[in-house]
Amino acid sequence: MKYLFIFLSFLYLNVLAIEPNEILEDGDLEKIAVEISKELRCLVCQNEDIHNSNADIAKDLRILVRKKLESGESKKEILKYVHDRYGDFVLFSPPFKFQNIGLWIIPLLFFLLMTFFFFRKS
Amino acid sequence: MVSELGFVFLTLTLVLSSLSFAQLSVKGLGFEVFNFSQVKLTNAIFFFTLTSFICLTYSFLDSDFTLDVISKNSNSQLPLIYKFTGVWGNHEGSILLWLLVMTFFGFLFSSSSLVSPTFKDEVLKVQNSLCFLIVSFIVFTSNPFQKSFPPPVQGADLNPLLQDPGLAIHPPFLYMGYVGFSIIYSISVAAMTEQSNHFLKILKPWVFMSWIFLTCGIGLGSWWAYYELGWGGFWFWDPVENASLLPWLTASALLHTIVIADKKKILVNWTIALSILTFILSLLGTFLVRSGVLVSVHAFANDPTRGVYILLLLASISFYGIFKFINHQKQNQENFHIKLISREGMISLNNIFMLSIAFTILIGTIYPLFSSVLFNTKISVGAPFFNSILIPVMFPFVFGMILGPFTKWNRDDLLLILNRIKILLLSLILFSLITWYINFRDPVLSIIFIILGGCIILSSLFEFLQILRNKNRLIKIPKKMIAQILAHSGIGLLIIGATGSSILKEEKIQFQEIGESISIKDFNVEFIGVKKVEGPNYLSQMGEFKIIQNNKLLTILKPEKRFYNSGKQVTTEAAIYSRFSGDLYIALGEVHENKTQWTTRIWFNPYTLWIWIGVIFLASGGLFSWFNSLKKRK
Amino acid sequence: MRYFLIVIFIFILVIFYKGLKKDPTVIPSNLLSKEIPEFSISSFSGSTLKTKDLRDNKVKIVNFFASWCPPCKIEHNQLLELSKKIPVYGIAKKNTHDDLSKWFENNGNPYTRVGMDTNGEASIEWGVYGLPETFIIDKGGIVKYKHVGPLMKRDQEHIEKIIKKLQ
Repeated sequence: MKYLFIFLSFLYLNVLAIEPNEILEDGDLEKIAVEISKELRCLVCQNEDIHNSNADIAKDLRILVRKKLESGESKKEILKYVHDRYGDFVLFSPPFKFQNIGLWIIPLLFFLLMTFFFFRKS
Repeated sequence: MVSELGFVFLTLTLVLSSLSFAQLSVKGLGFEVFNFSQVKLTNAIFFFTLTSFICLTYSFLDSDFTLDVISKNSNSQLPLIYKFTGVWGNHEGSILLWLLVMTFFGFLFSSSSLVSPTFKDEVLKVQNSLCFLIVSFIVFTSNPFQKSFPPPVQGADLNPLLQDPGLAIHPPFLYMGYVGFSIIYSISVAAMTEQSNHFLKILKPWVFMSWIFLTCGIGLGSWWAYYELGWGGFWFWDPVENASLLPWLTASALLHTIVIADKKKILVNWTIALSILTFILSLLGTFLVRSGVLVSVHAFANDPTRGVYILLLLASISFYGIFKFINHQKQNQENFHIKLISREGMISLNNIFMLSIAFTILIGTIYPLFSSVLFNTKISVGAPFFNSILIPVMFPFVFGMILGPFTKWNRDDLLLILNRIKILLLSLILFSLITWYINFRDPVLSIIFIILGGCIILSSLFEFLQILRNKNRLIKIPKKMIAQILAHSGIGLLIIGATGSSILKEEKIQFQEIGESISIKDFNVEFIGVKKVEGPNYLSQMGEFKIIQNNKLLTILKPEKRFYNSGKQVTTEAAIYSRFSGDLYIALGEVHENKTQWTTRIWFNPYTLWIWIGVIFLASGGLFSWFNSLKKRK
Repeated sequence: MRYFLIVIFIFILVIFYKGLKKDPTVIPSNLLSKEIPEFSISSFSGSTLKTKDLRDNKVKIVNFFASWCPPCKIEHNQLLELSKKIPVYGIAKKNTHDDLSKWFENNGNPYTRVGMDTNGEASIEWGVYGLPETFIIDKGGIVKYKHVGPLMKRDQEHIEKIIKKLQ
């Protein structure tokens, strides 16, 4: 495992990512492509999205996203496609599942508790 | 020889601080056996740690590769300045720096003449015990004086990303912040033991000082990321960045709370609780960076045994603080009621939001870890999540910031407040409409945030003019008002800068031919060519670009690609032309087969300068408060 | 109230402790217990390698590799060993025919058949994010196990146990 990452981190320092020949001609479609790219995680990097990463898998995914956009697929469909193959980890915004409910509920509870503690009549 | 000396002094620190730790533990169990002069211990501990650190620094400057940490993180070809900053460019050296700052603050506290001897003794006992825990961690798991067998002839190298002035001073500033919070913890714990009531005046300057350092540390890190990483981003919601933001947020809440506590003698327990919480969050940050439990761009080479040790440190220090607080609160219930429409109420509202944001960021950061352990699934919580929770919270936050300074203490009336500031309200509405009209083509979110930021600045300006009119002379304005006006304006500037630089960023990526001009905004970027330049420990390909506006040559930008001799690593050095309206930012990519075409990336990042100026305003506001609190200590 | 706080506190610490034992860089496969994905690529021998070819009621291994990937060389011997027991199919990511020929000449060829994933799309179909990655497929064409990284000697036992169970 260590080797895989030493090998791939080689690419990290060469930090410029998207190449001019990847950019789509259609400006609106390209905008959506960038939106999608910013929601997809580069799976071998440390906390980067595929738009900003120079890793091989990031480039492959960028090209695939644009190919699918040009063939008419929607943002939702493309995100689902990648999600189905790589799991929850590849999405930077966690999907709405039972296990992830805590992510939203716990902070809300905290906020209500705080308000109570600050403003209650002692 | 020098390195052996360094280790000896480190051990001496361990021995001496263990005495304080023993004394504290024994007292905690209910009886007093030893009694050491904490002041003498503190001074000795500081002296020994300082000497140890100097020994390590000397070894780095001398390129002593018999030490493992130097052979892995330094190189004889390294410029002298980076041999020096390389001392803390690795785990072992940086944690020794942590310890040095901790003992230094203990030393500063011990030299203060305004603290009663018994209270001082109690505070230093806790502080030295903290030092004991850290130095034992160093000696047993992260010894910088560990020898390498066999010593290599040449060291590996300092990571080229760290060979940079911005990144060199970022850790020391951060540590002064994080470790400053250790004194706050010690003072609060001592205040609970000694049942002291005047500890607030002693606590205040330390709170401001640490907060200022942390603000600068985070700002420096952001600024470094912006100019060094090659694509103009300055915040990535990386776990370690989030970890630095958490104590900053609670310290900001503490800052506001301590003002109320000192003035109205309420929320004293909150002050103690926030002091303890802030230091716990500092430690949590340390745990997350150095244990390998999270994936982050900042993670040091990690080691699970270190992770367990830090976790024990975190657990024991947290547990002690929380336990003491719970007992204290049981015996010292406070009786007060805060009304929402009052200065205390506004500040409390602000605190609630800051703490809620902090908590949400905390949950978001460690949720993947929880999910992995509890449900065995891997999820990612990244920028989209954090940005989405920040947005709704901004509104009440800014609302409080604008109304707060104009609200009276104890109780006030909403209609009266609005009447008091009717001129301001009018100008805010006018400003909002004008801004919307000028920028209506921009994304809605960006317009909203720029209006919010602008409103904060306008209301601070209004406040300033109002009090200037009352006092007639600039000198007569109370320092704490200047502090608040500066700090709040800083936040406004930050919001505008951050919004412009991220949402309104313009990008042009292309294959650029030598001689070709690319236009962006109202600039023309003409590619002159690429030449080879030799640096002290690298070879660089330096691109040259003419920046032309209205047919006038403004400057020549020179972005580089550097190839470092030792590690064969490549870095991108972007070239930036900054103006108040925005930054022109150029990065050089790869050359193409025909050798006359290069991939070039050109960005225009609006208002970026305002981010750094905003941080400076924030820190300056803090400085005014700090000096004010130093003066008022009697 | 205070006991509740202490319980939460200990709960958090235990989770952190358990988290230390886990490797944050390994991502579990989303294909486990699902059918092998639909794909069709050209093969080393000149024809094609597609999903149908892998559905032949036999337990098999699918290994993603490349000649330019250093860790792949490390596991090559393990693959040669495994190929004696069950069929090993290889999918070469972004390799030219020439480079692959040289690689097989120098190191041996453990693969029953080799597919050429020249544009990386097949790898994405299989949820592959790095190299090497190895899948164990059961008789019914269901993905049963995925190993990320080179197969070392110590993984050998575990793999053989799984294969035995499936047969």
